[in-house]
Amino acid sequence: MKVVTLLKVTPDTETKFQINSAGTDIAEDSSIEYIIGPYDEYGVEAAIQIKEKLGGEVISVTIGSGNEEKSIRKAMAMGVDSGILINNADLKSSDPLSIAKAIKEVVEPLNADIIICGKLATDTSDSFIGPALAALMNIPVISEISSLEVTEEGVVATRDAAGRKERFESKFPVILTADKGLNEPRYPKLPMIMKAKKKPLDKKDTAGTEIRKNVTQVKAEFPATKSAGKKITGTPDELVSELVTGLTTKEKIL
Amino acid sequence: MSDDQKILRESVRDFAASELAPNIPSLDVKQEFDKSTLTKFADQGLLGVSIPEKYGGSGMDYISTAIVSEELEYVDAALRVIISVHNGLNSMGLLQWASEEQKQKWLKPQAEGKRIATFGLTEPNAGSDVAALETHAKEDGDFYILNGSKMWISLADVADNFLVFAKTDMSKGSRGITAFHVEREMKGFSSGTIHDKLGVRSGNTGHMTFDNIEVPKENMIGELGEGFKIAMSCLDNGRFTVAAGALGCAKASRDAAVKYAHERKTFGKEIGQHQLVQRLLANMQQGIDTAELLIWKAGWMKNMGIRNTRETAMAKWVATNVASQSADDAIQIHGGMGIAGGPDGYPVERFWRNARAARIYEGSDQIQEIMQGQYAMGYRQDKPLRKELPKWVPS
Repeated sequence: MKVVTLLKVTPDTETKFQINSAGTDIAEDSSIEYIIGPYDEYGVEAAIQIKEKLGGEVISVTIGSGNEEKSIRKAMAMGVDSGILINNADLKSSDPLSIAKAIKEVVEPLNADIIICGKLATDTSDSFIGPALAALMNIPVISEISSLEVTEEGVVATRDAAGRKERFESKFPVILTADKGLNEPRYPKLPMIMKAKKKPLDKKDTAGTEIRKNVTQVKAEFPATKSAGKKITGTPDELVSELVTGLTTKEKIL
Repeated sequence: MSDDQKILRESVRDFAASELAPNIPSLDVKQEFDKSTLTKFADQGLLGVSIPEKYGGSGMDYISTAIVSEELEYVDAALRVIISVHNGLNSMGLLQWASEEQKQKWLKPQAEGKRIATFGLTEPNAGSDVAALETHAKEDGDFYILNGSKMWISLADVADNFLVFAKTDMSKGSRGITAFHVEREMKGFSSGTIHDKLGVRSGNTGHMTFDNIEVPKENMIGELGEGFKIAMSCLDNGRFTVAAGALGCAKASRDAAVKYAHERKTFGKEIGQHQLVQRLLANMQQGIDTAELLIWKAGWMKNMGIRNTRETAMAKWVATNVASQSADDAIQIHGGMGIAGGPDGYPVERFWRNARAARIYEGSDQIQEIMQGQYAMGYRQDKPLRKELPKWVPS
């Protein structure tokens, strides 16, 4: 079984980031801790579990801009066998379709049975790459899966939809996007951390595909802080009266 | 930090937060040592951090042992104590002093986590005054007959292997001490647990007694009469883990205090806005930054194979006092809630209780102060040892 895991490196979700001086994006500074995107990490764990059950290999694929190697090595310490890193800042900041095409260029020749990634990256929240890659490669996709069974024949996966669980089956090759609940990613063990340093990581400057930037992010800002609410006190009758007055005359909701 | 040090920190932090932290407050209340912690440590590879791969360890650098110690004591001192005695005092001592055959026989299973190890130096009547040891070993054919008792021994009731120091010549003071590898299975060994400690209440601390134990001569570590030097160099590694653990306790105290100072409001604003609260936090940060640099300096010297008795002792002295003061100030910031601990309370009173003993064990504040004074005056100089801790060789 050959499994490719798409691994995007994102700022730690607990990072208290700043907006850059141009006001167009978050400021890249040394205070940002970069981690494996949390949903991609479910994908990494799932890929390793598949290998442990059925044998084979797990290859990670990353589009990066210089902050990625530690996280790829962490995935290797978890059990990924080898990695491919396209280090190209222009590509990483290009539009999602260019990134999906670059990933297709890298992934297609690997002839993977399963390609798995997170349902979204926590920095851009596009939820685009998995389904787009499936379209570009013309193979099936099951998105936002929360459980997975893999046999030699194919996969059975479930998705938590509103008020119900949906169950899907597919033959190989298939793309899966991972949701929370799929698994609990393991903590790398110390001997594996040291072994990970020696695993092959193929670093390239380009995937050889066209980089287009059809959409430009022009502004980033923090959400407006909410003003403090007004606390009303009094008897129940007074409270109701003041509440209704406030909603009708001040807030004009009623 | 190198990538592997960063991955290590992330991994141990996540492991400790998920697998260990939830149970600590109730274990602390019950004064219960959870033996499954040892299995978990072994499974993660934490029991052989800086031991070379050929002796069953992970072969990480010595700073990595500090990172593990810090992250574990960020949760609770009882977790770090395991690293101090198993990795620091015993296994790194064997790495430095044991013969190749002894390392394969005893160090390897320890680093692999198959045998838990601790260190037996302190006695009821011999703490800082090591030369006053009363435990003695008398030569008898192929054995030494070991008699005596040890006290304040971490993991006394759960460890399998013990690095024990005993007088082999009662007339010679510190030069009459010899180190032995002792195992729980040896006839005449018994141990017990000490209860009602102020802190480290989820850790196992105890005493052990040796009643005519026949210790084979090949269990002698180092040479006859070399025990004092061995014990002191083991302390260079034990103190390093105590210092790093204390740094974790100080950071945990700071983080708890900052969180509470954001949440709690007095006089119409969150208490962190008050300058006298900020002063306490600023002092904590000053101590944390100072201790961290001292620990990393000592760790760097270990990596380079440079003698670091003075620097490690300084790191231990400073860091344990920073932890103690930070936990105390964190309680102050929490006000009345700061003294309410347990599973439903705040952790800072536990940090305060845990921090206290570290200013006594592995060299009290006073021993540290005297050492630094003697170094400053030139009365104390570290002479080269017959065997030094091997410098770290990247694999």
